[in-house]
Amino acid sequence: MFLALVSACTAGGGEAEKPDTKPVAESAAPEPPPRPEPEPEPTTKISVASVQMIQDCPDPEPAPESADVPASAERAPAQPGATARTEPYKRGRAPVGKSFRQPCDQSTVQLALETDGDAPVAVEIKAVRILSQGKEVGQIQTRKPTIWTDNSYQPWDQTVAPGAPTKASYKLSMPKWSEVETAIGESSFGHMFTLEIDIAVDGQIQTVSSPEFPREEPHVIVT
Amino acid sequence: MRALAWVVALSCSACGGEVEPVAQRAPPAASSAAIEHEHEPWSDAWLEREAVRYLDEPEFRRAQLEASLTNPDNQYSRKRLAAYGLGDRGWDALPEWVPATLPITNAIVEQLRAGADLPQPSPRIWDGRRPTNLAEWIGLGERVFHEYPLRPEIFAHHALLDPELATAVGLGPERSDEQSRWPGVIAFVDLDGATKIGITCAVCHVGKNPDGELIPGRARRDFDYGRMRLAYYRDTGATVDPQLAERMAGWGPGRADITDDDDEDPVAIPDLWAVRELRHLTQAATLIHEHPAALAIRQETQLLHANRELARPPRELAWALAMYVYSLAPPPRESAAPTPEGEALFRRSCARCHDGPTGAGEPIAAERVGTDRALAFGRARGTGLYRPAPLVRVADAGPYLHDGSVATLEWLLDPDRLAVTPGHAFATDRPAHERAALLAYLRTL
Repeated sequence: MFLALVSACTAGGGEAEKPDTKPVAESAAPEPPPRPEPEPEPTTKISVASVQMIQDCPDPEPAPESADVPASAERAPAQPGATARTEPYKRGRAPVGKSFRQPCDQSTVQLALETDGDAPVAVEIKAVRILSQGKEVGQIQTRKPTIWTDNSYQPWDQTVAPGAPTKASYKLSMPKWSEVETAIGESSFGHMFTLEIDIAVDGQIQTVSSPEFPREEPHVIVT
Repeated sequence: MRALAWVVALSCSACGGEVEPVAQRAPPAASSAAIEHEHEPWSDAWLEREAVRYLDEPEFRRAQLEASLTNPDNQYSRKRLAAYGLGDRGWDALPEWVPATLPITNAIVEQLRAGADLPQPSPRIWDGRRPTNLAEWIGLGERVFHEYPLRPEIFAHHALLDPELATAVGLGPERSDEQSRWPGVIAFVDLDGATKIGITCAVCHVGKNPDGELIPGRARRDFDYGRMRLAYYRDTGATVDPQLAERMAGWGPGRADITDDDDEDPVAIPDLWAVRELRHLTQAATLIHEHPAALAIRQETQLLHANRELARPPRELAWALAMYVYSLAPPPRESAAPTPEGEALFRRSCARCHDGPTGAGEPIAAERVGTDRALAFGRARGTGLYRPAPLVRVADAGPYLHDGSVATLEWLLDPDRLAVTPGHAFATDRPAHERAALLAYLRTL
C-alpha cells in the first residue's frame, strides 16, 4: 500500500519549497499550513496461537445449511428442547440407533490477526514449513480456513476486518513423517517441532513462527 | 478427566533412613511474595485473594507456570513454556470458549437409544460474572467439573447407546430416575458448531463408594476406557492399529495411557482427596504445587489442549475448577478402632516417605521405588521421580502403585507379589503378623 503524501505549495508562484529550508517569512504572507505527519502504513499483526499435530482426516461433507456460510453469518439462537445438527456419521455397524465414522483427530494451526488500518485486509497462507531446531524438515499444506465467531469456528473468506482481532484456524496436512524422521535422526514422537508460515497480506509476504509442539499419538486421552 | 494426573506410586519405605527425598527445592519466588499477604497461605481468605493475581496478572501466571514445572525439559513442560503466558501470542491469543452443554440423563439416553437426535444444549455454562467469594468459586467449579467438555467422545456416545456395553465399561447414571445424570457425559455444542457427546472431569473422578453411591472426587475404578474404545472399533468396523488394540486391552478398568507420546505408560485414576494439601501433583510429581495457580494453570492448559488447542477456557473457570477440587473430601465414616502396633510400624517403616497430612511426602527417585519406570522416565511427563501416594482412604484406593498394577493392599505387602510385580518392596520383608498390623492401621486412614 502506498502512503498518501501531501505536498506543500508556496503562496509565491507555485514553487515547491523544501520545508526544512524555508526562511522565516518577513512579509505578511500567510504561514503555510503545517505539514501533516505522514500516516503510518497500516500494519497487520499475525501470530501463531497454537498448533496441534496429530492426524489429517477426511473433510466431512458439508451440511446443506452450512454451505457457503459467510464469515459474519449469524446463527439462530439455540432453542431449548430443539434437536441439534449432529456430525455427519457414515453408515457403520453400530448396534443401536446412530451409525458412526472412523475416529480421527484433525491437525490444526490457529492464528491471531489484527489490522490497524481502516480497510479489510486479504490474507492467504502461501507455505508452511515444519522445522526442527530451526532447520526445515518437511512441508505442510493448509486448507479449510475458519474464523472464530459466535462461540465456534465458521467458514472464512480470509479477510481480516479492521477494528477487532481475528481468530482463525486452518486444517493441516501431515508432513512425510519418514522424511522428517530421516532428517531428525529419531522418532518423530517425543520430538519438538515448530512451524514457519509464509502468509500473504494484501500480496506482501509475512513469515511467522509457531510455539514448539510435539507430534501427538492419536489414541490417547490426554489429561 | 480432571486436571490432576492419576495415581502415584504407593511408596511405603521400609528402608529406614536410606531413602532421601530428591525433589527438595526452594519455594518459588511468587509463593514467597504471597506469604507477605496478611492471610495465612492456603487459607480460604488467601485463596480468594490469590484468585485476582492469577486472573489479572499475566506476569504472575507466567512466573507460576515456570515455578510449577519439576522438569522443564519434558514434553509437558516444553509445550507450556513455549505457548503459555506470552501476552499477545501463543495460547493467550486463542479465543475464549464458554460452551453450551447439557448433562446426559436417563431420559436423554432412552431417547437416544430410541433413535432420537441429540437434544440442543443451552445455555452456556457460565454467564461471565466473576465469583466474589470462595463459595461462589466452588459452585462455579462444580459446574466446570461436571460439564466443561474435555473433548467430543465418539466412543462414549457409542457406549451409552448400548446398555450392556455402558454397564461393562463403567458408564451409568447416579440413580434410576429419569432425570438422574450420567456423571461425566454431556451433550455440548463443539467448536465447529455441531452438537456432540463429550466427556468431562467427572467421567473419571466420580466413583462408587463401597456402598455403590457415586461420590465426586472418588476415582471411577470401574471405568474401562480401553474396552470402551475397543468396543467401538468392533461394533462399527472402524479400523484400529493392532498394537494399539493390544495396548488398550491391557489397560483394564480404572487405567489408561493419558500422555501424548508413544510410550506405553498407563496410570491408575486417583482419588481427589485433600488435593489442597499436596505439594506435588501427578504420579510422577510433574508439578510443584506451592500455589493454587499451579493447579489452575494445569487445568486451564489441560482443558485447552484436550479441546485440540482451538480455544481456551476463561481463566475464571480454571480457577473455579481448582477451588472445587480443593473442596472435595471423602465422605465421613465411623471412627476406626485404634491400631497402635500398626501405627508404630507405619511410623518406623513408612512415614519417612509417606509423611505430611496426606501421606504424600517429597518425591522419591524412581530407581529407589523400583516400580515400572515408563512414566517416571517417559518423554511426556518424566521427572525421574515418583511421588509417594496420598494415603487418604488408602484402603479404598486400590489398585495400587502409580500404574494400578497391584490389586489389593494385602497383595502390595505380600512378598510373593515381588516376583509378579517388582518394586515398592517396602515392608514386604516384615513378618506376617507385622504386615497384618500395618494393614489394619492403613485401613484406618
